[in-house]
Amino acid sequence: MSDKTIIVQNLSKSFSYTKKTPGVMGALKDLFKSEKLSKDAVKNISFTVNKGEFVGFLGPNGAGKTTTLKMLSGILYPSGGHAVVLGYVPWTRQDEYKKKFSIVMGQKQQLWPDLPAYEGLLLQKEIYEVPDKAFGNRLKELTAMLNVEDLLNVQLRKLSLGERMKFELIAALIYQPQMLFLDEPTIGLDVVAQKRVREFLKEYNRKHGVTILLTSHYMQDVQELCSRVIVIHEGSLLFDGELKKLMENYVQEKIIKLEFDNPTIHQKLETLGKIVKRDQFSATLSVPRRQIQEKVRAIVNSLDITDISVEEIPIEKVIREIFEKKSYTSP
Amino acid sequence: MIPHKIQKYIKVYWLFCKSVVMRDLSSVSYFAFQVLFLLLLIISEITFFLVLFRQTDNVAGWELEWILLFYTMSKLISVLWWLIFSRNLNRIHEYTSSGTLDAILAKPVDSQFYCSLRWIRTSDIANLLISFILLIIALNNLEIKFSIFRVIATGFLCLASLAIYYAFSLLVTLPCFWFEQFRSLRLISGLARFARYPLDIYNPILRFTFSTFFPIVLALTIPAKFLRGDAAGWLVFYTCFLAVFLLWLSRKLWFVALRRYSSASS
Repeated sequence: MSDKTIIVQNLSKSFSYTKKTPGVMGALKDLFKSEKLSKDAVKNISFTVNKGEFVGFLGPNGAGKTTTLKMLSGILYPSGGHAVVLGYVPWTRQDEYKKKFSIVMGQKQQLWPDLPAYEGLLLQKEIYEVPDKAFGNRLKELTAMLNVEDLLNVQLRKLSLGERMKFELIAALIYQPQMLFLDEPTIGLDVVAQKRVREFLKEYNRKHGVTILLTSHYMQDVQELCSRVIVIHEGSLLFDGELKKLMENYVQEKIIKLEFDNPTIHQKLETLGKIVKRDQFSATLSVPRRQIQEKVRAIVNSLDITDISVEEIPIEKVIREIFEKKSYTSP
Repeated sequence: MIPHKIQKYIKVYWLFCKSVVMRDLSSVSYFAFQVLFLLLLIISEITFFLVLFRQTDNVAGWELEWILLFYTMSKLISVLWWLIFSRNLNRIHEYTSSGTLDAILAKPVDSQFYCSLRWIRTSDIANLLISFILLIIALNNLEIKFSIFRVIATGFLCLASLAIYYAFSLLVTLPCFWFEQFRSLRLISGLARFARYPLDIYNPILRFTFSTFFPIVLALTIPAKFLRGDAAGWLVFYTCFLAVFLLWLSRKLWFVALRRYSSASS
């Protein structure tokens, strides 16, 4: 098999729905004559993912990320286009393919809250036909990595959200899939639990070379985990490449943060760049990316400052701006 | 030697049952209440027949002893349906409207098997035992020795009846893939009410309707009728054919419905 784990060509999905007229009269009217509408959730997207890659799938709500993941995992049939994952056409729903991928949806848990996690994992074992020895070894490895060895026999309902998500990940990985679709795996978790899940995913990807496609609203997940991002907006592919490249392509400016003891510096700063934030002893300038070296040199040579730092515009802000199709104005 | 795939499905079904029993038994008082409620229901239904037969010797040719046998046999099939399928079929609309079906479709297990058998109605385990005891009592009352062939063939017809009951119920559940708020279990319960009495008591139009469009009534009637020796050969053949046909049709339409599935927004 080639190194390409996922090949997507002109994949599309549209949903049809009926327009609802508000009010009782409207509902009555709809009974006899209703307007059929169609929404293109995914429009002709194409991309490939290599074996072992950790790819972030970014986009606002309703952009088509989850629909794409569902098509790639065979849950939904596409309206057009083609895809091959691990050598299979996903929507043919072959058991051999289903044993090679796993999908984790942060908002939908598959283990039963009324039973201990171990019972749910035993069911996974039989469904995915995992041999006894392999099941024992993987369970040991995964519970140790996620530090939940002592919680296997506790009713899931009694565990924290973070601990439950760890067991969802164990259930997803117990049969050692080659491809992992993660849809908002850290949603609702506190920062500590988010960090633990991120560290685990990073380590697992490194250790087992599993290919991972991740959607998340937390930019920190993407920044820490993904070497590459695919940005999708209103069903269309907006960007596919390294996160660094995304910043270079879409962000024309960088931030210079300054600290000083002499407040009169403010007057001189206006000639060096756009001031986006200021107070008595500090200021933040927005400077064109290409002029950054020249501006820093000018500041250091001409101003009496106590500290200087050059930063990228926060990624959350950049992504938001891309989706809103605006240019950056303030940090 | 059982094929590997069947072994897998037996193991998975065993774990389904085990997990549901473990879960349901966590509330013993609720379980006991359900059993008591079902017992009262059976007593009230048998009392109805006893009162009815104080006024007459037979109903459409069925004497009290045979009516009790008919009742307990149809009850047994009905209880099996409630025990094995009712909770599952009742949940299919929830799977489609909430998007829970996503996780099922992603598993290497037959989705119809999963959606039809994931749950059991544990309270009906006691009901099944009670129905079985009542059936033995009803057979004993008749004081007739049945041939082995007749007993085996009746058992086989009970299975065919259960298959008709299940496949028909699934067929009327499938519209929930198109209409989110569609619920079919009330229709099934309503139709099953007609099966408390032998098909012979109805007029020809209803008899035809209950044998073709709503075959649950036929399904629940035919085993007792066969045991009694008054089921025509063609009717037995028709019941078996209907079981196979409805199972095939429900399987085909299950896949059509899956194609229609659009999941739920995350």
